[in-house]
Amino acid sequence: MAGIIVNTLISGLLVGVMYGMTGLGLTFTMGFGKTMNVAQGTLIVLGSFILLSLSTKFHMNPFLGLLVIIVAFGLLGGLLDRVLLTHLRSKSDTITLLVLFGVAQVITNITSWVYSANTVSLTTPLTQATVQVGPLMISLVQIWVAVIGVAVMFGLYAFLRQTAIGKMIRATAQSEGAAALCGLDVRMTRTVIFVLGIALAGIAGFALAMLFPFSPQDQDTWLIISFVVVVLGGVDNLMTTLAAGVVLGILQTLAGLWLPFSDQNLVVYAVLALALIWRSRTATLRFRSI
Amino acid sequence: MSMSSVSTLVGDMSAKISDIRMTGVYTSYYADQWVLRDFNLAAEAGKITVLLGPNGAGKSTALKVLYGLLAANRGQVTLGGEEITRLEAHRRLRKGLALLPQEHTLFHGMTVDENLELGAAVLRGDRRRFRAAIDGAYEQYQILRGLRHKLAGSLSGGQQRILELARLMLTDPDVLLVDEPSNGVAPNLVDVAYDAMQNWRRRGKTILLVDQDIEAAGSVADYIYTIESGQNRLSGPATQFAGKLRDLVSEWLDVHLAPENG
Repeated sequence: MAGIIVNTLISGLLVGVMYGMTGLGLTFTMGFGKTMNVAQGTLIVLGSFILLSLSTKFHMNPFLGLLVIIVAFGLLGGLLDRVLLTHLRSKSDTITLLVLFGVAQVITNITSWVYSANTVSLTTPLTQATVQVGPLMISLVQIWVAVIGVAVMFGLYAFLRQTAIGKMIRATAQSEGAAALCGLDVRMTRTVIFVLGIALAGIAGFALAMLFPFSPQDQDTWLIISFVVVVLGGVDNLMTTLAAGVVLGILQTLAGLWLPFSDQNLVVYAVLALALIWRSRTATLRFRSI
Repeated sequence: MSMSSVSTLVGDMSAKISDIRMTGVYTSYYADQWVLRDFNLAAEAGKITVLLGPNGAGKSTALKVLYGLLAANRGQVTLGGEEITRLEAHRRLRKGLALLPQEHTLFHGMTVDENLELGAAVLRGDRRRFRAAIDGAYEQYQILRGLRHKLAGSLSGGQQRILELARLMLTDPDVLLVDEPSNGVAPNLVDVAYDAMQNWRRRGKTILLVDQDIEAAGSVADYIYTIESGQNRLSGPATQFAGKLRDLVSEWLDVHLAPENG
């Protein structure tokens, strides 16, 4: 039993990093960009399907596929921001929410139409390899995804702290008015934030395809998981976003030992409910570092 | 003023003389409810121009239009002779126009150092000037040195005010719009802002001040405008208002002024 629990913990940890990655994109669009991107789940799944196509149709190495997805999703994010969101932001948050909901529907329908609504999984030599660590068997791809997830998080953290653009993003997230007074181009910064948020959805899509089976209908599951991660981790902190993903991953995998597979999402909803209650009680009045 | 500061002043002024003016400006928040109606105002270099008026007369609105935070429906805004009526607000700092708003505008979750870096962000194209501006701010406001890695939100009210003023001056703007520096702050902090404005005047800056505290604003004014219901009332050199400012303003504006020490 101890061996199973250790195995489960490690698996939960590695899956949790992937959950954290789904939250990173939402941290950008929601925490920094103040835009509730309800298309996040759809975009994650779209990323998975694009990786599948690149891999099966073009025999592309998944890591090269990841780079293609990052660039393509960044462009898509820029397009969505400039064509739809820039003009709506000054009007109302509800309209932005509805438009993104519409975008999600369109993308889901296109994905279902192109790929059918079936559940598929990506099989490559990489996804089948395992490594032996002492008495434990660990899937190699889980380790890769975890390494990429942690690298992305630390990379973004350094980017936000050290670079001029990163500081502009943090400043704009705190106060758009003050940013404009400092001569910062708020509209451009908001676009950069959205581009990064969508590119991160693409990275999460890569991780999803590498680890799990997926279908166009999975969008809600991934939107909810990323939302739980962000609520639990706090909307503007990348470190805690990833940590929240890990907590959720471990809880869910542990629950899998006792709960039937179909009930595992109960844990996700329970964590969401508790996190919302906790967040509403500890509404922070102190100034935190952003 | 010492002789040396006079000579630097003359040197500065020959390099850049800026005035800001608005001509025939109409603006509204809602259709057909003019907050400014055919409003005219001009502020010149080396002077503190004060805009006085009762609550809701349109004083802060005028500053918003000058800075581009609110669009003028009709009329013109010019800076140093160049029309900037439709220029986006965030581009105005590069033109030498800066605004000190009444609400606090520091980035509270970022360090003092980061706040200064952001205040000098428009200089980033010129690495040397960017560094020199920030070093200069620490030189001038020594108190900020020991605080550079602290979060702006954790500073005292006075320290925050100083950081705001230091950040405002990083790009060495020619024209400064100052909105209600006395509003809701401790008296010693009001002095910090007023001392700074007098210092800027000595350096040949153009200052346009809006303040509820008529006595304080009147005491530093070179030129006074009054506004009521969004329209120009009396205006003229501050000497014409000397001694009777309080009575005159209360008479023109028909406002009940707070007692002397209130």
